[in-house]
Amino acid sequence: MNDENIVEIKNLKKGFDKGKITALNGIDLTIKKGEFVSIIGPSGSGKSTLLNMIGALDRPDEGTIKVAGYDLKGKKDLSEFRSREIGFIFQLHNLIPNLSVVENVEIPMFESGLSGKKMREKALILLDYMNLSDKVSRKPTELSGGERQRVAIARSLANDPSIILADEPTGSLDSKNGEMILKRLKDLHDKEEVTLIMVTHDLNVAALAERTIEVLDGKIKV
Amino acid sequence: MMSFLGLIVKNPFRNKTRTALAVVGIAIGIATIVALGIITDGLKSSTEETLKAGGADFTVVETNVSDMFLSEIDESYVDKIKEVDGVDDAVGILTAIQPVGDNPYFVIIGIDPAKLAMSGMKITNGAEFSSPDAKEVIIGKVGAQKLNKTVGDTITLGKEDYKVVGVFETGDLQQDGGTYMSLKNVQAIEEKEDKVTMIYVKIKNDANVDEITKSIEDKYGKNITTIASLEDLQSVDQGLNTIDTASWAISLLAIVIGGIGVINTMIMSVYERTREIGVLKAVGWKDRRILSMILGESIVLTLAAGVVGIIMGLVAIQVLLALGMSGFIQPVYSPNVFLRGLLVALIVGLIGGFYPAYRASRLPPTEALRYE
Repeated sequence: MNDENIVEIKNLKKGFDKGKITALNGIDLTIKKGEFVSIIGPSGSGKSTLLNMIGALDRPDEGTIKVAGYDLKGKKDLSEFRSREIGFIFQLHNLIPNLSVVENVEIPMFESGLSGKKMREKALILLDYMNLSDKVSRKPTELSGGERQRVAIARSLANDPSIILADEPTGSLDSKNGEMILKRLKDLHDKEEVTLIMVTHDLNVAALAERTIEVLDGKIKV
Repeated sequence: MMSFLGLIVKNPFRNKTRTALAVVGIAIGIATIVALGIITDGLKSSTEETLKAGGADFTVVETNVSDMFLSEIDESYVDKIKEVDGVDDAVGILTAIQPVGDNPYFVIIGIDPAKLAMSGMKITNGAEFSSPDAKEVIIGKVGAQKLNKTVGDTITLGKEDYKVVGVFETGDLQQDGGTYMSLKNVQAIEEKEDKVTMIYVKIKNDANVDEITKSIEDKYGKNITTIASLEDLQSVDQGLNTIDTASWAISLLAIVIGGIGVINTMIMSVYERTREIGVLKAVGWKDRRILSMILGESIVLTLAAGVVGIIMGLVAIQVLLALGMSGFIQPVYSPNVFLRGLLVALIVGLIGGFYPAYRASRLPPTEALRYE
């Protein structure tokens, strides 16, 4: 693998429903370390499937996929890879309702081997970074949509990932909150030099990225 | 600061109503186990007290009898046993049930008045009955209270009236609920001349119980057998074994019913949290950690049910005692009973929680995240 490339995908294919549905049909893609890439395409084009493959939430049927040095097709247990290298941000915040804001941010750190005290310290720093210091003890239901998504960003940063994967991060927010979240993500990329891969169907949002990839019918449109 | 264990303890109480219902459902099974255990232990301890009554070192009963109190042996064995090397003394006892007043199950025990000391009783009021022919009885403390009889009163047994000359106490509920009278009188009432139910045997100070019981069994084993301990009794007396078996069968039933309840509760919980489990996988949780979490939650649920069940069992015993069952129940609160309750709870948690936990741990993350 080229040292500069954090994602290297060759001829990646993925089908569902015993091959009746082709989600990805021969994807070739490389993404450089520290790059901000947006993936666009209409519904059902395969963009979320591609993101899930990069995040090792699903396995390919054919082709090769290497992310942050891990061969994702060959490796049996991918939880360690997800824990160390990936930070996920979903369209819906997916926070755990009975846990407080700070506890939600601590959740990914359970696999990191940090002590409870260190986990708390780190979670508080991340929440401060997201301007949520005054909300740490609140339950997710007590927060606004934008605040919840900021908690989700803090959670995605918990294990210092090399790549952040965001699937329609502003999809369920109003424009004001959406803008704020995008600004946070952009800051994160600019200041922390983290690789950011974002799926969106909004061209204005996609325009914030350094490079935009369009997926159509399971292939990258050239 | 949140620990993994803290999370496991916290999670089952997210849906308080469902958890409370599941806890009560399992707790009823545990309460039954605990209450039965307390009653059975009382029964065992009371039987053991009968075996070790007073100065007796062991008891002789009929061979192959289903219940110790159904035993019937010839009185001549009393003298034969007295002859055995190492035996200090032996006394024949005939026990029977007679209706007295409102009580259809009044226990009467016949014994040679000269050997009353071997029964281990203490006269708390009045005196012992004087001769084998006297129409006299001494009545147990509990029986006296129930029948409202005291020294000087008479009670009718069979066709004859007997004068109450004393009140005794042994600490054993069965005996304290009935009377002692002369063996001859009980044999007459029951029309069992020259018969006894059992023989209490006292050995000499330097003698060995095992050697003596072996020599008796070698000599007369065809007709009589010796009981020196509760274990011996259980090999002879099917009654206690039946209670033990019933108690285990109820435990098993509680495990099965409780297990199904736990599976149902935990499957519902996993089902509702499918998306959350997907998130946990996405943030890097190992399958093993998800399995431990759900299994742990199941155990928290059933251990809570165990504690509630123990309390319910104790309350049930108090209710039974308050309802006037104190004449039949002599509760013994041994730690083993409570440990058994908690052990059953733990097993129910493990068995009932495993399948939902396994299912959660195997959920494909993308499917779990798509779940609405």
